[in-house]
Amino acid sequence: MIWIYISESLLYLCFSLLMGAFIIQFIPERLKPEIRISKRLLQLAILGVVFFSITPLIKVILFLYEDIGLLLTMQNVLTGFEVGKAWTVTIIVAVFFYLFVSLFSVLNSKVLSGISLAFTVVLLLALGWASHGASLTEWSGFVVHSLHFLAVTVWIGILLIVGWCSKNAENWLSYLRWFTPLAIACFLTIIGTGLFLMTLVIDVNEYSDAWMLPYGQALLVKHLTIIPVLFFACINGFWIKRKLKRNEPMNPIPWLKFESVLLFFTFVSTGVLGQQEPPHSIETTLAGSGPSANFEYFYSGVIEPSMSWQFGFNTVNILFFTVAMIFMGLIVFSFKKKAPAIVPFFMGIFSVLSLYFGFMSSMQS
Amino acid sequence: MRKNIVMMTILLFIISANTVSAHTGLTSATPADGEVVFGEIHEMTLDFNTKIEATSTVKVFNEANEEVTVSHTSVNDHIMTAGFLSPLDPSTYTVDWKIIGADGHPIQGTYSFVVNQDESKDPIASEEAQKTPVQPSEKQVEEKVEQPVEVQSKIASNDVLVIILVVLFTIAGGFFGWIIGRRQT
Repeated sequence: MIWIYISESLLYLCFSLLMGAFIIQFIPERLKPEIRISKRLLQLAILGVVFFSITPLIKVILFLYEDIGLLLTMQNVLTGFEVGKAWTVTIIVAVFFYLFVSLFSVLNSKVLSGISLAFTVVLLLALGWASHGASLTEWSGFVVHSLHFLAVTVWIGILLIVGWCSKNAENWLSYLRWFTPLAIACFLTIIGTGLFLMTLVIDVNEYSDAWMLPYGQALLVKHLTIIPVLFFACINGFWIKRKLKRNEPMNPIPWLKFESVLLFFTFVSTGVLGQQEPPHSIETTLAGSGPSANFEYFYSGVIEPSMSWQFGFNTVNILFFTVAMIFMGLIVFSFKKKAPAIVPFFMGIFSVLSLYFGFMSSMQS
Repeated sequence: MRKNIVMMTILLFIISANTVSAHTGLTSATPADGEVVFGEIHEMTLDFNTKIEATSTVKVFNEANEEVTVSHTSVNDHIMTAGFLSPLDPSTYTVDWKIIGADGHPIQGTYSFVVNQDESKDPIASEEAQKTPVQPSEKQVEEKVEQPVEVQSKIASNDVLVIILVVLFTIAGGFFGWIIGRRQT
């Protein structure tokens, strides 16, 4: 299963890189640092989209081939299944996209960048077509899933490109002036659409009950990984801005890099989430596929499908939440004390761990 | 104005989400889970909450765990129908279904139903038989209510959690010291 998770995460990364690389071309020179993107990176990202989007197909084929044979399964999946059709569209679009990027200097002209951006959006829609949300609803799931993914890739794409491809921190203040509002808009869109997608799968009231299942576990981890990202985003968006305005010496690029690495962890947990069986009914899923291994580790009692979890405080979880707060405080503190960005990065990871243990040990039936 | 439109759409989505609110992989089936059926069963219908792919399969086993031949299955949007060569003999049947949702998610599940002899032959016996499946389910409900009381908040491996806590506090303290110490030198 791990290879599926890795490939999903890398798929999101490729999409973000393409999105960021082309959007940044529309920003006037004086509003961004000097950025150099190699064509090779774009080509690799397009190839990545093709290869990494095939894994759900492989998964279905492996699940089915015992019953009807490998060749027939492949044929069925490619021509009959929604995921298969979506992937066929992906590969056709990607071939043209690849040729387009290879033949023209797409990064030197706004028109060509615009066409490339359109290619990227078509690929993104193809991915949304085969999404879980799309299969549950007539059209709203498809629209919302695509919008969710679009907001994610715009925000993270620009962050990745500016963080890893910029030569210097010139024009940083003017860059922040447009990027901060854009990032906030993307973030709000992500929350709104994310809530919608979540209600398609689980009842919000049953959120903590879902922790019994691998799906709920992945959802919890995903939501927790967003917390250190927000700390970094606030430091990058507001605090560094204030420092730069006061002309304090400060290199914002490493901070941006670590923010993007933290976001990659969110990608990984999303990748895991996307591959879990969505629990439309916790009871049935629990009876059918069993509880999550992590959950079983924390809870030794008999797991009854009809159990409902109450959130309760006890000494252990209060201590976990306390240490989580300390780690969050340390993120801020290490920025204040000008520690290298890798220190708060680890503090962020430890705060996620502490929160996770805190929540897992808070469960009472 | 534009903001309002965006807000409205988001609200609409959230409201419509509640009406969609899907609940099980398998929404309903005939014969249903735990149902006792009288008379001839030629066909079985499984209704899922998601659009399913044509290669979805269903297997039916009788009491002796012998597979019952399913003569044909057909899939239509989110309904799967399976037909039998001959009407099912009286027995307890287990149904194993294995579907692929339109999003490529494989889901499997199982349920069972009982086929009884024709009602007209022995009405009293069948009435009793009809009651039997009700009783165990009542028991189950009782058990479910009792059990959580017995096993209340049994958090496993408390020792491990305490060790993890100590490690986390140590790391936090270590880093705090390091940041401060770094400043002084």
